[in-house]
Amino acid sequence: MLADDPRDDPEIPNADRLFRRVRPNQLFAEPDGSQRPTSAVFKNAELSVNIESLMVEQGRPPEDTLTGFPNEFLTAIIAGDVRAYNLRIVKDTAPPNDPAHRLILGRKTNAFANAKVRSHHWVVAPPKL
Amino acid sequence: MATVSQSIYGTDVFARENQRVLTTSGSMQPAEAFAPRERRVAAITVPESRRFSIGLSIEGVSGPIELTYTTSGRGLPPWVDAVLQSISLRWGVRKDWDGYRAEPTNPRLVVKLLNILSGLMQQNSSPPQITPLADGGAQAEWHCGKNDLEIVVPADEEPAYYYFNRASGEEEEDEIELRYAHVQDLIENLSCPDHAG
Repeated sequence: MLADDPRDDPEIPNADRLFRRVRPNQLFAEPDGSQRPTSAVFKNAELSVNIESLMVEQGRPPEDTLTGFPNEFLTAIIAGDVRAYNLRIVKDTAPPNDPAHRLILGRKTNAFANAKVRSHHWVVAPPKL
Repeated sequence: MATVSQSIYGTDVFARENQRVLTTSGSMQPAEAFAPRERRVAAITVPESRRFSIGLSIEGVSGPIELTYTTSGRGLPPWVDAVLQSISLRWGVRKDWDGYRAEPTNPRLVVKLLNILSGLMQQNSSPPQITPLADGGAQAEWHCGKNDLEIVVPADEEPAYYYFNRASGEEEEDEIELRYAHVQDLIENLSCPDHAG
């Protein structure tokens, strides 16, 4: 559940990493066998992410984002790169009420999603094929 | 443009030799796909059309999803098998399939994507990978050499394409209908190994 006019959360610094799980059916295999997320990963209307600085405050490693999702992988994008596309990083008060959780709101263009594919960094990478 | 078929399913309209069923069991959900390539061909004579069906088996879905299409040609182009395999492998079966409240993949949106591909692609085009979207839509994507190309069919927006050239930085994004011939050219100029993932 969101406030009527959710504002960008100023507590999230631009340098923060935003963690996002990636399912196997949203991977693309490169010719060398490595795999990367497809742009579909970054097109959700309400794009859920965990915030690195908030997880650190809680003493949680980034990999904690994968708890309960043992077959998925973990990627990171940068908060400032998201805001550069006029998107907002806002608090989410809906269950499960994870204090490290935020939503990226605003229209995700294909250009945005593909830019994130090019700039993302794996935290937990899928195996080479 | 083809539409979702309601009445032909369960009848004998398909000649047995034309049926290409990947898996058969249980009930089927009919949907018409692969519209004839009508935009580039100015037909002078109209050969007899034939209707084909394909059962698309998806893990977690009870019974195959049946796609039907009509063609006056000899059958499906070579890229179709790879595309259907890609759809089958990646289908978002349940609500919340991504753990982020995704909608299940919508067969009608997949059919819409297949119809668009059928119109855009040539007989010998490279097959794209098909990836589900969280809103129930789907996208086709090619990543070949320095070229990234996507055909995107979301639930609530018009079908769009996205092109990026990693060498030049050239980037385009628009509704397909507005630049149809250009998107056909983009696909035709791709040089991909057969890859539908």
